[in-house]
Amino acid sequence: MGEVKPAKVENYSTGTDANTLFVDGERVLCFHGPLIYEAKVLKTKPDATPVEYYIHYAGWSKNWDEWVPENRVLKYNDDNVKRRQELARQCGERSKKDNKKGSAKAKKMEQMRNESRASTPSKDSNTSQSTASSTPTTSAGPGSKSEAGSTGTTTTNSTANSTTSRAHRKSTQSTPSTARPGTPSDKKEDPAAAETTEEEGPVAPKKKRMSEQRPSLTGSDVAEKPLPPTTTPSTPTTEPAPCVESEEAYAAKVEVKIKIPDELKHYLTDDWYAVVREHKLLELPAKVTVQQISEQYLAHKKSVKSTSASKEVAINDVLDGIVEYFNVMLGSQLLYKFERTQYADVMQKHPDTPLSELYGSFHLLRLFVRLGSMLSYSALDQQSMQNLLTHVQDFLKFLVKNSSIFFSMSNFINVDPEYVRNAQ
Amino acid sequence: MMAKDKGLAVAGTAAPLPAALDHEWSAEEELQLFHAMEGLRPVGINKHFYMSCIVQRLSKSLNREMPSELIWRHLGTMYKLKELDDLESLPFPNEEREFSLPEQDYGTLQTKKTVEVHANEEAAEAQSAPPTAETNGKAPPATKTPVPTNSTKDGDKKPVAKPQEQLPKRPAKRTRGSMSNESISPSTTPPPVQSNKRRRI
Repeated sequence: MGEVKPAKVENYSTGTDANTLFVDGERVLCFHGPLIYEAKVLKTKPDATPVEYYIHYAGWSKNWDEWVPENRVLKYNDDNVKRRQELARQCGERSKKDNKKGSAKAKKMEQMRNESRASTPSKDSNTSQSTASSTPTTSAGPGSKSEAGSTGTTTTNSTANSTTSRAHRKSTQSTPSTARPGTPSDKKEDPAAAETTEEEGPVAPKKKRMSEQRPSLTGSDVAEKPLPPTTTPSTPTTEPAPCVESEEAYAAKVEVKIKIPDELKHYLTDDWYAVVREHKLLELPAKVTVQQISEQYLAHKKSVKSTSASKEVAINDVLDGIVEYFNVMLGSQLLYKFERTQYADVMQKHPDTPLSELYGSFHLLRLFVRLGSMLSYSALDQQSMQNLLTHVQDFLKFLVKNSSIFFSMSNFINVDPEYVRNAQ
Repeated sequence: MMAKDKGLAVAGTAAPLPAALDHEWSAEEELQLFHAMEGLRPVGINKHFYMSCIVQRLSKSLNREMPSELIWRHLGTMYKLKELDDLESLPFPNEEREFSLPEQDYGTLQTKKTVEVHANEEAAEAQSAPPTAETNGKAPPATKTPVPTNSTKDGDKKPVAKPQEQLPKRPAKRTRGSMSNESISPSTTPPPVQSNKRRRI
C-alpha cells in the first residue's frame, strides 16, 4: 500500500513541485460516493499521509463539510467537469440494477463511522469558516437543485460505482467506495415519515345533520274521527296522539340551528348585562312591540317588487308562527330571573292582551336563541324546514338593518329599590 | 289580513268575511286539501308553520294560489278550530326556567362586555361629579373607550366591525400551524452516504 500511494502522488505532481496539489479557497471537484460534486477547499492538512483537505460542497449545508483524502479531490478543469457529467448520466441509467454486496457494505459502514467520529473535533474549531462558507451555498442555489435531482438516482448504484471505481482507481481502493451507496436508503425513510405526519394533520370535516320528515298517520286518523257531531268520542282519541308524537319526536330529535348575525349577538350581550348585572328592566309596554315589528317587516316585504303573491302568503304565515311561539315561550323560557316580578305585574295589568303586544325587540331576539331547539320537535319535513329557516334568516337581516330603531339602550329603565328587594 | 287570522283563531267558526275571499270549494279541491294536510295538523303552536306548508302543497296540486285565510275559513266550517287548539298539547318541553345565553356562542362576548364596562366605570369614577352631572359625565369617557356602555350609532358600529375581523383570524392561525411542517427543499438535502453517519453521531 505504501508503495502504491507515492507512485500516485508522483503522477499528480507532474505540474507542480509543492507538497499539496490544492491551495486553500481553491475551487475543485470532489468525489462523494459514486458522484463528483463541485466543492471548495477550506483547509489543508499537508502533514497527513495521504494529504487531506477540508472540503465544502457547493450548494450543500456546512454540516456536510469533511476531511477528504487527496485521491478524492480533482482539479476544476474541462476534463473533470465532463467526467462529472458522465458519471451523473451513468448513475441515472443504472439506477434500476440491484445491489449485490450487502455484507461488504456493513463492514465498510463501520469504518466510515470511525472516520466520521475522528473528524468531529476538527469540525468544532471551524465555526468562523462555516459562517464564510454559507455565502457560496446561497449563490449556488441552481447548482444544488441539479445535484439534488441526481441524488435520487444514487439509491442502488453498486454496479455503476464498482465500474467507475475500477476505471479510475486500483482494486484495493474500490472496496470502501462500494459500501457507500447503502446509506441513502436510510435517508429516504425520513421524508416518507414527514409525509405521513402531514397526512395525519388534516381533519375530516364533520357532516351536518339535516331534519327528516316524520309522517304521522296517527294525526290523520285523529283528524277523521272528529267528523261525528258528538264531542265525547273525540276526547279520548285525541289524548294519546300528542304523547306518542312527542315521544317519537324526542327520540328522533334532529338539530335545527338558527344562525344569529353577529350584530344581533352584541345586542343580546348588552341585554344580558343590563338586566343581570346592572339590574335594569326593559320598559313595558314596549315602545315598539313584537306585533309592530312583524307588521313593519310585512309592509317592507310588500313594498319589494320581487315578492310574489304566494311568497307574501308564506311570509305572513311565518310571521304568525313566530308570534305564536313568542306568546307561548316568553313566560317560561325567555325571561331572566330578575324579570319575573315585572312579568307578573304586567300579566295582572293586562290579563287579556297577547304578550306580543306588550314586549318588544330584545325579548323577540331571545326567542331566536331558543327557537331552533324548539322547532326540532315539529313535524315539518326537510324542505319545509329549510324554507322556514330561510324566512327566519331574512327576518333577522331585517332586524339588523333596522337595529338602530329596534335595539336602543334607552329602552332599559332603572327600577326602584322596592322592586329590587322583592325580586331577590 | 292578520286581524282576520286572529278573528278566525278566536271565533273558531267562520265570521262574515269580504266577498273577495268567498270561495265555494269543489269536491276535488276539498280532496286535495285533505291530501295536503297529511301529516300536518294545523292546530297548536305549529299551526301557522303547518298551514304555510299546506298552502304550498295545495297550491301545487291545484296549480293555483290558495291563500291561507281561505283555507282557515273553510276548515272553520268543518271543525271547531279553537277547541282543537286548546286540546293540542305542546310538542316540546316548556317548563319555567331562566333564560341564559349559550356559553359556546356568547361566553367571549359576555366576558368582553364585563371587562369593557369595568374600564368605563373606572373612567367615570375619576370624574366624581354630582348625580345629574354624572349622567352627562358618563358619555364623554364612554366615547373615548372603543366600546361604550350606552352605545350610540357610532358605538354600535365599532363592536360590529370587531367580531367580523376576529372570526377569520382563527382559521388563519390554524393555517400557520399546519404550515409549521416545513417541506424539505432541495437545497437542504444532504449529499448521499455521509448523512447517515453524522445523524447517528
